[in-house]
This record gives sequence, C-alpha cells and structure tokens, in this order.
Amino acid sequence: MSTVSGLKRPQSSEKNHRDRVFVRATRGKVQKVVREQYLRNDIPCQSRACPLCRSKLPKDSRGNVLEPILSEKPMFLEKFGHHYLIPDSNIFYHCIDALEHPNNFFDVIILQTVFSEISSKSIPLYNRMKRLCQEKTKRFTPFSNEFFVDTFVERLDDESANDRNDRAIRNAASWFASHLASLGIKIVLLTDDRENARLAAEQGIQVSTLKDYVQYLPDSEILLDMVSAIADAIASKEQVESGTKNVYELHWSMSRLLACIKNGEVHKGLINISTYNYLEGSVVVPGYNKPVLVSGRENLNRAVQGDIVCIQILPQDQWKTEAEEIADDDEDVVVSTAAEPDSARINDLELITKRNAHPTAKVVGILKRNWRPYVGHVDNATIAQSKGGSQQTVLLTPMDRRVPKIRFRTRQAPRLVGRRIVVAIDLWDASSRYPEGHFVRDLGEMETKEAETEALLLEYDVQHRPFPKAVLDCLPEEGHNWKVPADKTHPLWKNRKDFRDKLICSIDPPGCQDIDDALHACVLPNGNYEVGVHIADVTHFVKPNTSMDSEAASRGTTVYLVDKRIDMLPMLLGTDLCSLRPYVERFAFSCIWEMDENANIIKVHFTKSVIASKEAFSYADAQARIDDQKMQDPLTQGMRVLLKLSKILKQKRMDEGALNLASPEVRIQTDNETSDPMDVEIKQLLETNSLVEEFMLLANISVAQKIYDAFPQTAVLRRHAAPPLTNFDSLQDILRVCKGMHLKCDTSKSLAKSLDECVDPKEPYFNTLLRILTTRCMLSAEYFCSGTFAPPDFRHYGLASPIYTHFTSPIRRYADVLAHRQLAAAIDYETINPSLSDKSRLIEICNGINYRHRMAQMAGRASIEYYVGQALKGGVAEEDAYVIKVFKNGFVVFIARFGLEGIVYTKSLSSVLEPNVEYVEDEYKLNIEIRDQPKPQTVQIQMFQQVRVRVTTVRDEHSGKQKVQITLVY
Amino acid sequence: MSRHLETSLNNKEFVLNSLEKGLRLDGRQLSDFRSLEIQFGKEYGQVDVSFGHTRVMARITTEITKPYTDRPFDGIFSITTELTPLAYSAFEAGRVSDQEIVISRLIEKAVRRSNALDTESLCIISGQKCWHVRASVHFINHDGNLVDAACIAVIAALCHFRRPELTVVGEEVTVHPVEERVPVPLSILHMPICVTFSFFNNGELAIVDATLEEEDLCNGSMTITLNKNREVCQIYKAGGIIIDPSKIISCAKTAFDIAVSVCSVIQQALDEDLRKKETQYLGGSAENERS
Repeated sequence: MSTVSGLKRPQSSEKNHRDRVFVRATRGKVQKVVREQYLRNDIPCQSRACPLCRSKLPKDSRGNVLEPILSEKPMFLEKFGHHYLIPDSNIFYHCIDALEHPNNFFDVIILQTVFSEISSKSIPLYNRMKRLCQEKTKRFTPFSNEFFVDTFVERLDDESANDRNDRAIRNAASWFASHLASLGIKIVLLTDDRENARLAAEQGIQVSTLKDYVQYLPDSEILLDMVSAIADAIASKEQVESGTKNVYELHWSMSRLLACIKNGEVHKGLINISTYNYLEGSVVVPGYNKPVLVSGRENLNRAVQGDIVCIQILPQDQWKTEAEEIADDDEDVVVSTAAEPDSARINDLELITKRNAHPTAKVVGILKRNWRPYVGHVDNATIAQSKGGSQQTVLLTPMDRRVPKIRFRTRQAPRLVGRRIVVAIDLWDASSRYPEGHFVRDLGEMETKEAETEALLLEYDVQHRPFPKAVLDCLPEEGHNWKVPADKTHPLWKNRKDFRDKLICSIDPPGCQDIDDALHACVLPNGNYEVGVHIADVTHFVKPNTSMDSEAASRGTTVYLVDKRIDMLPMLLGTDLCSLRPYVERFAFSCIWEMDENANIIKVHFTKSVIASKEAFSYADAQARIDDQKMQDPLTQGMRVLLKLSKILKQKRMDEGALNLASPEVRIQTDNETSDPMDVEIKQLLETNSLVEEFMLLANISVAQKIYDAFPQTAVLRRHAAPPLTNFDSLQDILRVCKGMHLKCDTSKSLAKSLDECVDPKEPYFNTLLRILTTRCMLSAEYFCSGTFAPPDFRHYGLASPIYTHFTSPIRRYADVLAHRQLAAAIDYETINPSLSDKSRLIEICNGINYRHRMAQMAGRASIEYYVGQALKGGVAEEDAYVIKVFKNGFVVFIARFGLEGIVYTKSLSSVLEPNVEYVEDEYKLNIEIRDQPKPQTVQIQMFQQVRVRVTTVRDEHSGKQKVQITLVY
Repeated sequence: MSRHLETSLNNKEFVLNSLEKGLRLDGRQLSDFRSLEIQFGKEYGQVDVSFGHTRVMARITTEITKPYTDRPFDGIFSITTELTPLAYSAFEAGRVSDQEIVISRLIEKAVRRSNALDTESLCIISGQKCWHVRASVHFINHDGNLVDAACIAVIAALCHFRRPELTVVGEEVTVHPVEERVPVPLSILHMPICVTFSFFNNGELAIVDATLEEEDLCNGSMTITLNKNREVCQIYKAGGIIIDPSKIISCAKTAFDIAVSVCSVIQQALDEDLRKKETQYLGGSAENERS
C-alpha cells in the first residue's frame, strides 16, 4: 500500500488537469497514449519575505516547516534593485563555473524547465546543479514551474519545444515578478539568447545577459574572465567539432611504406626519445654515420619510445643540431619551441654553417608499436573534483620522461589523485594531441616504498611475479633437507670429483645469500700453483625443457634493488641448495688451473665436483684476514696466493688494454629499525674485490674458449664491440675546447693509455668524470650465439679479451646456465640437450637475456636513485658537482657523492628577474647574467667546471610528488 | 503459480505474539543475524554461504569478450540468479517469478551498480577485448533472507576469485594457465553488505534476518545495502507499510553494525582459505629482502 499525499482535484476546475492524447505507431501497431498532468496550486515561491506562501511550505518527517530558501533582502544593484535571479538553460550549460563561484550569485531560482533541459543534455552538469541547490550558503532553489497552475504553459501547435521552454521560463519569471512586486523584490532573467531577451522585455521582465550582469558585480574582473573564457572554450570546441582538424599528418599506408622502404625513399628503424627532451628522438639508420634526428611534435608524428618507425629524411636546409634546450616539465615551454620557428630555428641556420648538423627526418609511418602499460600519476590539474563519480577525461604523466602524456577516461578520477597507477595506450589518432589509453590498475600511494618499488619493477619490465606451481613442482622433493648422497657409489656421484678436502672459501659482499662462486689455491709439489674456481652447479637442479628452465629463461637474471632481490630461481635453490654455503657439502662445477709463478696457465681442467666450503667471507673480512700476518693457517695462505696471482693477472690484463671504466657505485645506508634510507656513500673497493673479479674473468675466458671449441656454431658467448669512432666526436671536441686534451680512441689499449694521461692536476676528480663520460660513448656488451658473428667480432673491448662468456653466476644469470650445460657436454659429462644446439632458439634466448640484463641494470639504478632521493628528503645538502652537459637554458651536473645527475635550469638562478643567458656553443659555455639587486653579477658555466650546488627535495605542485631539485650556489 | 502452505493461524498468532515480546522462535534477539558460515570451494571464486537453513552458493567465472560499444574502457560484470524448486517448493522452474526479479535486481544494484568491482581494470584492449566476470548465484535452500545471503555469497566469491594472468603485446593477448603464472585477484573497491529488515506490528517492530516463516508473516520489508565505510549503497523498499523516517535511520545504524561483523566474518574466512590455498606457492616468492 502506498500513500501519495497530493492535491485533490476540485471537481469544478478544469484548469488543474491537462490531458494530452497522442497516437504512436510502433511496428505497424497504433497505440493511443494518454498523458494526464495534474497541476498544483500549493507550490511556494521559497522567498523568506513572502507571507502568502508560508502555508504552502513543505514539512519534514517530524512535521516541522522547512524554512524558505531565498533571502528576504537579496542583493541590491542599482540597475536592478533587490532581486532574485532566474538564469535560462544555456547560462547553466555554459557558465556553471561562474555560477558556482562562492562569493557571487546568491538567491537563484532554477526552474524545472531548466533542470529538465540540462538533465537531457548532461547528467554531470545536472548533478552539479542539484549540489548547488543543496548548498545552504548559495541559496539556490528549484522551482517546479511545470507543475504549478500559474506558470504552466502548453505547447502551441506551431511552436518548437525550445520555444515552448523559453516561453515557460519567461512566464515563470513574469509570475515571480508580479508575485513579489509588492515585497519590493525584483526578478532578473539571465539569458544570452537575443530573441528570448527581446520577448521578455516586451513582457516587462527585467532581463540581462550574463556578461552585462556580471559587470555590475564587485568581483566582475574575475567573473568576466570565467564567463568569457568559457564562452571562448565553447567557441573553439565548436570549431574543432565542425571541422576535425588533424593535429598530426596522417601515416602512410602500409603498402606505400613497404614500397618506399624498398626504393630507399624512407628508412625504418627503432626510435629512441631523448631523456632530456621528449619532443626529440633519434633513429639509427644504416647509411648515416650519425643517428638521424626527429625533432618536434609534428615530426615525431605520434611515435612513442621504442616504436619501429619509418622516417623520411628532410631536405638538408632543415637539418638541425641536437636540442640545445632541455624540455621542462612545463608543457607550454615545449610547445612553443616546437611550434614557432623562432630564434632557435634561426640559430640553427647559423650553426649549420659552423658545425655539421645532424641529418633530420620526420616520421611518416609506424611499422610496429612498442606500447606497454605505463606507470605514472594523474595530472592533478586535469581532474575536476566537483564531478564526483562521473566519467571524465584526465591525463597521465608517465614516470618515463620519454613517453608523452596519456589521455584516458575514468570514473574514479578523484580517487586516483596522488596514486601510482598503470595505464595502457590503446590508440593515437591523428586528430588527438595525446595518445588515448585506459586505466589498468592502482599500485598504491605515491612516494610509498611499496608503490614506488612496484612501479619501478613494472616500468623496467622486471618479472617479479611469484613462481607458479609448475615451477615449484620442479624443485627436489626433499626441500631444505636435500643432501649430497653420502654413498659415493650413488649415481649422482658419477663423474664427479670429490673436492671436499680442498680448502675452499667464498668471498662476497656482506650478507650475500646466493653464493655463486668459491675459490681455493694451493702449492703443487712441482712448485706451481693449483687454483680452483668452483661455481654452483645449478644445472644439476635446473634441467632443460622444464617449467623451471623456461621460467628462468624468461626472467633472464636476478635483479638487485637497494632493499630487494628479485630472484631468477626459487629461494630454495638460490639461497640454499645451489648456494655454496660454508660448512655444507654442495655440488659444484669446478675449473682447475695449474699456474706458474707468473700466473701463466699451464693446464686447465673442468669437472663437476662436490665441495665443502670452509668459510664464507665478506670482502672486508677476507681483506683483514689476508692482512693479518698472525694468521698462518693453510686457508689464509691459499688466499694470499690467490691475491698475489690476481694482481699479476690484473696487470697482464691492463697491459693488454683492458679499460678501467668503473663508475662510482653508491651505497645507501639505512636506518636499522625503520629501514628508511639515511645517508649515501660511495662504495669502497678492496683488493679482495679485484681478487674475486680476476679469477672470475679468468674462468669465464677459459670456459668461453672450451665451449667455442666444442660448439663453434652454438656456443653462448658475450661480446663487447668496439665503439665507432664517431661516438667520441662530441666528447673529443669538448675536451679539446675546454681542456686542450685529446683522447686516442682507435683501440682499447690506446684509449686506456690516453685516459690515464688525461689528468688535470687542479681537479683530481676530472679523470673519473672523463671515464664516466667515456663509458657513455661505448656500446653495451651483449650475449650472442657464436654462429652469428665472425670470430674477430667475438672480442670483448672493455676486457680486452678475444673471447668471453658468462659462467660464474648461474644462480643469478641465465646465460651462465646455458654455458654450464654446454661446458658439461663439452667435457662429456652429459649429452647435449637438443635445445642447446638449436641456433635459432639460442639467438632468441640471447636477445631475451640481453633485454632483461639491460632492464635489470636500469631498474637497479632507478632504485638507487629513488633511495638517494629519499635519503635527501627534507634535508638541504650543499655538494660539489661537475658540469657534464650544457644546454641553452640549463646544464646537467653530476654530484659525485650521491652518484646523482641533475638538471639546473638557468631560470632557477634567480627568482626575481629571469637571468640573461648567453650560450657560447663553441666553448660549451653559458654566460649567465644575474640581474637581481643588490648585486648583479655574471656567472660562467663551462663543461667539466666544478660548481657548488644545493640539493633539496621539493614537492612538485603539479604532481604532488617529491622531486630532487638542484640549484647553483654562486 | 503453485502456492506453499500458509502458516496456520495458531502458529501465526504465536509467532507474532512472541515477536511483540521480543522473542523469536530460534531464540535470537530481534536484531541478531543468524550465525554465518562461509566455505570456499577447491577452485578460486567458489563459495558456499549458509546461515540457519538458508544456503546459497556462488561461483565466479571469467571469459574474454568484446566490451560494450558505449563503454570501451570497461570490462563487463554480470550476475545471474535463478530460483529453482531445489531451494523451495514454491519456486517454479522455468518461470521468472516476481520474487526472483526483485532478488536479482537487488543484488545487481547492491554489488554491480555500487561499483564494488572495479570494471575499469577489467579492460584489456579498449574497445576490443575485456574480461567478462560472471557471478552465478545458486539458491540451495530457502529459509528466509535470500537477498542478504546472495549478496554475501557474491562479494565473498569476488574477493576469493583469482583470474588468470595476461600479457598483452600490441594487439596480441596471451592468457597464462594458472600453473604457469600465479593468478591475480580482482580489484574490489569495497564490500557492500545487504541487511534486510522485516516489519511487524505496522512498522513498530523491525527484525533482522527473518526466517521463511517470519517473512511470510511480516507487513513489509526493507533492504539497506552499505559497506564498512558507512556508505549506504541502496535502500530498497517496495510497497508494504509506511515507515517513519526516523525508523529508517535507526535501521541503518543497526545495519551498519551487522555489516561490520559480516565483513569481518567474510574476511576471516577468506584469509583462512587463501592461506591454505597458498601453501602450494610456499617459497615461490620471487621478491626477497636483501639483508
């Protein structure tokens, strides 16, 4: 039973009730529809001043009368008197922001006609209007004019729905005007429709356009801006809608692209976007000795980092030099440089005559997209809080600086503020400035360790998911209780040597759990040395073509973050059964050399073995033990032999021309209890570090030779190609101009020698800096399958070794697992699995592990960077830094103590007047004239210069994120 | 429509009289929920919810389909409910009764329309591929309060469910079998709980979690759906006696207390079962602390 209390229709009055009869035809059926509308006469006007409507006011559940909404003394304006406002639908539709202004627009009547017109046009807007009515201070009231006897109008025969609604609005306004006339309150009808205004004026209603009305208000300036900005927005939106203008050139068709690639008109290649400027990319194209530049939004034409694109080389007069400006986070700056051919372009023209410009091209098509889910945060500025749960379009600012912002639609925008989220790109139309994507998932609050770690792992495509059941099923059933069989006749002992009595120990970083390698050395009766490197026998547990094998292959490598390790193999193997822990028997793969006094190899022998490590040292412990002359036990003596031989080996290697390019590694000190980062320090390298390194290199080289001999076509090796000389061009030029020095780069040997010579006695750090920059000119080392290159190309440039592989860390690198299997087959321990002699499969695996290796390195670096940032949080540090790159509007500094690189914008040098900057391109120099009072001065910044910088973290207003900010101290 | 036996007058009088005195046949207080039992099945997303003699099962399944054209960025979530004679002899097979429509609408509104399941995260490639998550609810036995039971079952099943992991490369989607990749949970934004009140004595008396007999005798009922963040998702009252607004407020307060306790029971059951299920992945974590 439901009760509806309404007005009973007086029998006599026909006026209270309308019948509408119309006939509707659907699928051949004719239906008569009768709509009855009952009109009321008890709708109050909601004015506090009105005594007539008092009795009509509605009551709440307790029977209390609800107070009317409109104030008895509304706003007074000279032109209109004390008045209430009645805006029409279009005012709400276009200018609701202005009406929502907290200090303006009070006492507004929203007619039911307006409400229904808006609700049919936009539900979010309708909700905003409803919210306005609920806000006590704004005094907006709805008025059901369509149900009110005195204001109801019927549509005339030749009248359009819109005209009827306008008439209804006018009628309601005129009813209010007469109803309130005796109380001294006027009505102002707000409409931007000229015809409506004219008719209203004829009816004697006070009428005004919103713009005119706003002019009489005290805050008119702000409001006018809002009103006209909105009006302009509408205008421009309509323009866009009328003729969909393409922001980008259309891509060529696939068939045209393929044909043009064939005839050489366009080139294909992988696009690499600059980390300093996301509007500049480069493509390495055979036939050009420099990477081909693609610069500007239009030329990039929707290419995203990593896409395989087709580029068309531009005429030579449009060639450019590499960007001289750093793209700021601020979008506008970038847009202006891309859009207008201003001074930058003119400068370029001059420069071309001076320095040879890069070949420049534009993207005409994209062969293969490299889209992946991108991690980032929502740009706060794009979120309309007031929209609540309705769907809206927002922009994602990706973590990867090389990726453009991504537009996506979501209903949960307000919830996403300050969260790390994942968004995938779906498409990028020529008409859309930004790529369009969709929300994938929420990683958590920004700046929290969990969310940032997760973000980092995703961003570098680190496979960090838990090991699935299929993999865990491959583990030995005994679990942690697995033991080397005591019975030496056991089949597992077959072809295994018993090295349990050798004095073997391991030396690793402190706290290392996954111990891959252990060593021993002793003196042979003939006076030579026996040196053994013992590597965890991972392949005993990880058999080819099992789930665990393919999982390890897809992970490729263990990834080390500051506080975490993402394992390649399940814990049970990695930190227990394979790990060469001390005091327990473990299976190993041993490489035994006989060496003479001068570390010349007399004999090498590989065998599977069983070892029992006597001790696990940290580098520091081992160093202390070796240095402690009181220790004379055989184990320590063995270690001393190892150290002695390693020094000779190192010297030999250096003589061969191995490069010493080690970049400084930082260590994050963490608080013991909270594990929050506290401080940053540069890692100390001890002699024992190099001891282990030398023997591992030696083992790798010996194994490489062995497996290459056994499998000339399919051995898994590692090469490091010599960098093309052009890579050094810009560094050479910088060196010549700034320091008057020269590097000899033709061979690694001469490079090593000239690097040693490039020393600036005044700046001791200069040499390290130069080594860092030299490293950046080099190519990265890669795994490959021996059949894919000619033997001269096997060379490892950095280590100056003709052949090399990875053998010594099978717990954490998959390449080593392959090498183990190949070596086992090469020494006839087992027959080779067909998968290891399938060249095409091996090539595929090598590509995979190269990619994973690169990603792991970057993830590790990013993790350090994050922790350095966290360690700096809140504090202010002044540090020495060195300039390593100079741009027109800023420069990049390297802060040695933190191993941190950062951009200093010239405009940040002064908060008052933007400094005048003179960029001396030839000398890699900036003359910055600071015009601030009281002491204007000029600061010079040149490459390699040592500067003092202040490192602080600031909260980026835009993203709500902590950012390391570096400013120059002068 | 086959009718079930109406309660005898004696019985009716007895029940109503005792309710007026604050007593219920099963010894509960007026605002007591029957003790809730939740059991999960062997597979993810299977749940069996029972209180008293009411028993409901729910099961979640997924498939990959094309999203609706007007919602290219959303996955699809649908709930199917069917009342069969299995649960109660008065339900007829193959005919959609009013009660069934009401129940399915209520569940739909409570779980789907309240955005308990984040459908945006079900999108795989916008406009082309998305997950379709289907919850099918089976009523096993009817002893009153099917709506609350069904809602609990659907929510528990959603929280329990794990969907297979995916990798998307360009337009190519690979679905990894559960053995190959550890499956991932759905993104549940909140847990809406339905609490149904039955009114007696012209609205004077409101009881929670009515049994079948009490449902037959009541003057009207109202369902409040809310979550533990005190957010009311729906208040459903179709017809019946008039209720005082203040009564609704007090009902909502009772409903909140019940929702909190129901949530904790669900959570506890979930934790327990998932812990049991996860033993198979023991030692499988790839992310480990560096000491």
